[in-house]
Amino acid sequence: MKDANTTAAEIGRDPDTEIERITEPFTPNDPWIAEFEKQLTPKLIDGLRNYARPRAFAVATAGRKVDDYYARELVQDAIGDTWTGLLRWDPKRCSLEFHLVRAIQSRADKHRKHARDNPHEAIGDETGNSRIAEQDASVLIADPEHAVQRVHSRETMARIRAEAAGDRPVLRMLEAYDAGAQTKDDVLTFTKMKARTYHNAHIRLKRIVRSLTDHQLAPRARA
Amino acid sequence: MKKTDDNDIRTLDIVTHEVGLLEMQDGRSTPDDRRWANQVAGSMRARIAEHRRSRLPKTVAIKKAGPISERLLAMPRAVLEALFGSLVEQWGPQAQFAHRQLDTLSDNDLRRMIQTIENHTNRG
Repeated sequence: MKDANTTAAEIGRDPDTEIERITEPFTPNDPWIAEFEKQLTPKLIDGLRNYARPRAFAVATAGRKVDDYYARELVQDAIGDTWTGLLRWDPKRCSLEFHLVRAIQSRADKHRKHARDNPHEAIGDETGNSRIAEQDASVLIADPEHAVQRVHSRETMARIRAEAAGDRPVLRMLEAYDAGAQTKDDVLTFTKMKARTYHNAHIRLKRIVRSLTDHQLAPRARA
Repeated sequence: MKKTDDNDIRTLDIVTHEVGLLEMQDGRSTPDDRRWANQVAGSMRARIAEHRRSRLPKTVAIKKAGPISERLLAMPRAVLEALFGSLVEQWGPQAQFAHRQLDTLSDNDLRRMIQTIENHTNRG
């Protein structure tokens, strides 16, 4: 199956280090600036923020503390790095939207891997004792499932599957991804579901992830 | 276990990407989100404008007009007006010359205008 995540060709980055190694200073020419200015609308920026939120959720599952401001930061960094030439965009090869989506995807993935490989406990982070204390408190004040906790990909996928319990098309879609599917066509081939069923399942999956994302990115009051 | 973890990471990556794309089309925005998006766009426009300004020459040399030719200096007003009339007739709207808030032209203004037109039309 084609790896749609390998987008180095489209955005000109080094997939191993994310950021292209700059050999020449970047000086945007007039046509480039005109395209950048034309395509960088507030609507696109707001759409990118909406794209970045589920990506931020994925970063949170690796242990990094994130909130809605982190999603905004992902967008602003991608735009700023494109303007300065740190991330190269060729308007003849793809739209600014496509480029920025890939840049955010790549940046969030890098942060997720970094958080996974460099776990740390900071002031305010949970520790063994604090976790016990929090769980005790949660019994009294809240649903323990919703206690602030570091969750991991496995737990997160388990939560998504639990939320989708009984929704066979969504579960089949997740099975397809587990089996290596990447694109819509891959999923349709694997699940043998109709395009409309896929579409509706996709919408329901979006609601589940949105709800988990909202919960994860919501500002938390300090104890 | 490792295999399961890898699968879950990969699946979560795909799911959050696909859901993100859907959210782009159909996401929610609060007034604060829209204000923020406008601010980011405005800030980038300011950076672009600053970049454009930085590329302009620091000083622009003022070109001084050359001396009026002896031929035109020798012409009286009536001959100058006739010459100007013929140039306008010949070049029509291609020959345009702007003066700022002038009701009348002095003889030398007229000479200067004719010389400019002739130089631009390679006459004279």
